[in-house]
Amino acid sequence: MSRRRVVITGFGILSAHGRGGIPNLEGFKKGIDSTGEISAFDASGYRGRMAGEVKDFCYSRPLTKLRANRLDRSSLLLFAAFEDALSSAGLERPAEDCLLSLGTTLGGMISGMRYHNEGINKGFGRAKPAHLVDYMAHNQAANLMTEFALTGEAFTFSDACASSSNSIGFAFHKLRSGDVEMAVAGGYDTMCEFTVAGFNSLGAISTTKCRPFDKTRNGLVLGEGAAVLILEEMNAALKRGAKPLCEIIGYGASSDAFHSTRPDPEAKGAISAIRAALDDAQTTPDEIDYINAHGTATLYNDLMEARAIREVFEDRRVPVSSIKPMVGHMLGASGAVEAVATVMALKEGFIPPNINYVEPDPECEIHISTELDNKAFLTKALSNSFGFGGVNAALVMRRHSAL
Amino acid sequence: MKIVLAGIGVISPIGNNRGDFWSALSNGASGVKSCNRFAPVTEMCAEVKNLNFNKFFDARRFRRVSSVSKYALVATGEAMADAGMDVGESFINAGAVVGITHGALDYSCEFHEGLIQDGPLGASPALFSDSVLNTVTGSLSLAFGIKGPAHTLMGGSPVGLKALALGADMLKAGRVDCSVVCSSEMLNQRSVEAYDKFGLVAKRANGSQGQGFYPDATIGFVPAEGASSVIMRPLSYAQQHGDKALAEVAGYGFAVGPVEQRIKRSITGALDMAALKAGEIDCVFSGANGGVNDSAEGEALGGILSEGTPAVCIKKNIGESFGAASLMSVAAGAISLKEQVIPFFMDGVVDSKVWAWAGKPSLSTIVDMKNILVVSNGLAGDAGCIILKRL
Repeated sequence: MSRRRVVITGFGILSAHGRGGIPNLEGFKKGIDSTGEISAFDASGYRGRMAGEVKDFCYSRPLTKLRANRLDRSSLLLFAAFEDALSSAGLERPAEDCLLSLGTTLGGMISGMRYHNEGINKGFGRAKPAHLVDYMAHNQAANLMTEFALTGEAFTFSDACASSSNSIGFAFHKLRSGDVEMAVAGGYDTMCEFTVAGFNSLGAISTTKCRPFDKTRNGLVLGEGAAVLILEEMNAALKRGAKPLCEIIGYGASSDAFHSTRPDPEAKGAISAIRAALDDAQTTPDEIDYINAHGTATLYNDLMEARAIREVFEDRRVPVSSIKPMVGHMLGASGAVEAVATVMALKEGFIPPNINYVEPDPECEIHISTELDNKAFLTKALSNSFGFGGVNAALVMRRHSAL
Repeated sequence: MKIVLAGIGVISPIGNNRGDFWSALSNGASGVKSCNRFAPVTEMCAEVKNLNFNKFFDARRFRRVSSVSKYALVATGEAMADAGMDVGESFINAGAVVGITHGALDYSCEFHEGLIQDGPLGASPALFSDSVLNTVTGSLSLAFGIKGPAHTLMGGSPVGLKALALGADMLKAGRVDCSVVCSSEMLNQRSVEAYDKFGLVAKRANGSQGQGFYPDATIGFVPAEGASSVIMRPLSYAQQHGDKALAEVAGYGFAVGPVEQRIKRSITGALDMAALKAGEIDCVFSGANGGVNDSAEGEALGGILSEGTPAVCIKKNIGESFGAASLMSVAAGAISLKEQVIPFFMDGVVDSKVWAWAGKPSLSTIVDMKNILVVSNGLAGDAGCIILKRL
C-alpha cells in the first residue's frame, strides 16, 4: 500500500545570518561566520564570549490579542518565523485544525531570569508577575495559538538539542498516518545568560571558535534563532497550488540510556536513530548524498557522531558538515534551522561547508565537506540531532521529484 | 490496533502506590491538608508524604536528582511491577514520554540564585544539568534501560494526557513495543507565589467565604505534587506475554480556544476516535480543581454528556499537580473500570447549566461501566481528554 507523502511547502528562519531565506541561503552557501561577541548580556566573566545572535531583531507587526511588552523574545522570534513560513507557503493562515508541533529547551528563559533577578535583588514579593506570563516552555505555543487564532492541537517538545528535530518528526508521522493534513513544525531558543553560564560551568564552551570534527576543537559556541516549516500531505498541497520545496521521507529517534549529559561513546543510540530514520525512509545508506551533522565541536559529541556515521555508512565517504560554526548551537532551534539548511541544500544543490575546519582529527575519520560556494546535485540527505539526556533524532529528506 | 494500560504506578498525596491511592479515593480521603510551607500565600497544599526513595533506588547517580525525578522513578518502577515486567531487556524496544509542567524548579531556582548572586563562578554544573527540562525523561531512560524514542512534552494540566496520546501513537505506528508514560510535578515556593500573583491559589476562608470545592476555601486551586506512570502495550502483545491489562485507551483529543469550546472539541475528537457517542460515556473524571474555569468545564460537560452522568473530581482529594494530576485521573479511571466502582463522586453534579457542588458526596458505588472519559483543562488555553474502555 502506498504511503502518504509529506512535503515542506514553506519555511521561516531566523538565525545569526539574519531573518529569512535570502540571508540564510547566502550564509550557508558561502560559509559565512555570523557569530560574534555576545551582546545580549555582559559575558566578560565567561571563558567563551562568542555566540550566534539574531542581530537587530525587531518584531514590528502590531499584536491584536497579546501585549508585546509582556512577551519573551522567544515568542517574538517564533511569531516572526511562523509568519515568514506562512508567506513562503503562499498561505494567509494554516488549515483549520492544523497541528502545531514545536521544540524548545528554554521557553521564555529571558523572562524567567528577569523575574529571578528582581526577586533576588528586591524580594519575590516585588518581582513583577508580568515576567512570568511568557516564562514556561509551553507558553510560546499558547501565545502563537492565541495571537494567530489557531485551533488545532499543540505539542511542545523539550528534548534538549533534539527538541525541534523531534517536533518535526512527530508532525511528519502525524501527517503520514493521516491524522492531520497540515502541520506547522519547528523550534526556537534565545541567547540567555542562564544557558551560557550552565554550559560554561560544564566546561563545554569554546574559548575560540566552533570547530566541529577538528582536532583542536574545544567546545561549542551557543546561538539563538527560530525556524518554522509548513508540512503538508503532498497531494493536498499540489491541489491548492503549493510548490513543494522538499519532501520529508523518514524519521528515527532513540535514547542512549548512558549518561545525563555525555553521549554514549559507542554511539549505539545515535546509530539506532539513524538506522531507524533510514528504514522509515525506505532508504539505504548508499542513497544518502549529504549528512547535516549535529557537530557541536565538543570532544565527546563529535567523536560519537563520527563513529555513528562510520558504522552506518561504512566506507562510503558521504559529505558531512555542521552549520553550527556559522550560526552557533541554537539548542531547541538547532534541529529546525538545520532542517531548513538541509532543505536549501537539496533544493538549491549545494553542501553547506563545515567552516573553521583546519586540522583533521584522525579519530573523526569521516569526509568533512569544507568547500565554500559549491555546487552539488543532492537527492537525499540526513540531518542528525543529539542532546542531553541521551536523546537522538534523525530526519531523512529528499529533493522533491517535481523540482 | 488496541492499546491497553498494562500497569500503573502512583506517588500522590493520598498514597504512594496503586493500592493505597485507590483505597483512599474509594473512601473519600483527602491529601489536601493545612500546611505552613507556603504561608502567607496559602495554608493549604497536598504533599507527598513518607516516600523513602533510597528504599527503591540504590544507584548513587539518582540520590541527588530533584524530587520531580524521584517521584517519576518510583512511580515508573511501581508501574512496571504492576504490569508484571522485569527491568532491562524488556525495555530495549520501549519508548518513554514524560509530560512536564514545571520541571525541577528547585534546582532551576537554586541555579539562578547562584548565578545572580555570585556571577559565572556561582553557576553550578550539577544544578544546571538537573534543571534541564528533559532531566526526568533522561533519568527514566537511565534507570530502566529505555532505548527507544524518549520525549518530554511541556504543557499545563493536559500534558499528562498528551504524553499518553504520544505513547499510544508510537505503539500504533510500530515504533516501539511498549510505551512508558509518566507525568511528575513537585511543590515549589516560587511557583506557588507566582500563581498567587495571578489570584489562582485557594486560601483558607471562613464558611461564609468558602465556595464549596474545598471546604472553607476561596476559589482557586490547591498546589500539590506527585507522579503517575502507566505502562502501555498493544493488547495482542499483552495477551501473548501474560501482561495484566486494565483498560483500553480507545480515544483521545486535544483542542485550544475558549474553555467551553476547547473541552467540547477535545471530547468530540476523542469520541470520534473511539467510535462512541457521548451517551455511551458512563462516567467522567473531570479536571475541575476549584478554580475559575470549573464553571465553564461544567457547562461543556453538561452540554455534551447525558444528564446525570456521574462526575468524579479527584483533585478534591489530591490537589492540583497539573500534568501529574491528569495522569492520576487516568490511573483512577482505569482502576475504576477494572473494579467497576466509581470512587467518591459528587452526586448528580452534571447538568446543563451549572457545575454544582451542592449535594452530598456519594461514596464508592458499584456500577456497570464500559466507557470512561478523563478530561483535563489547562490554564494556557488548551484542553484534552482520554477515553478508556473496559476490556
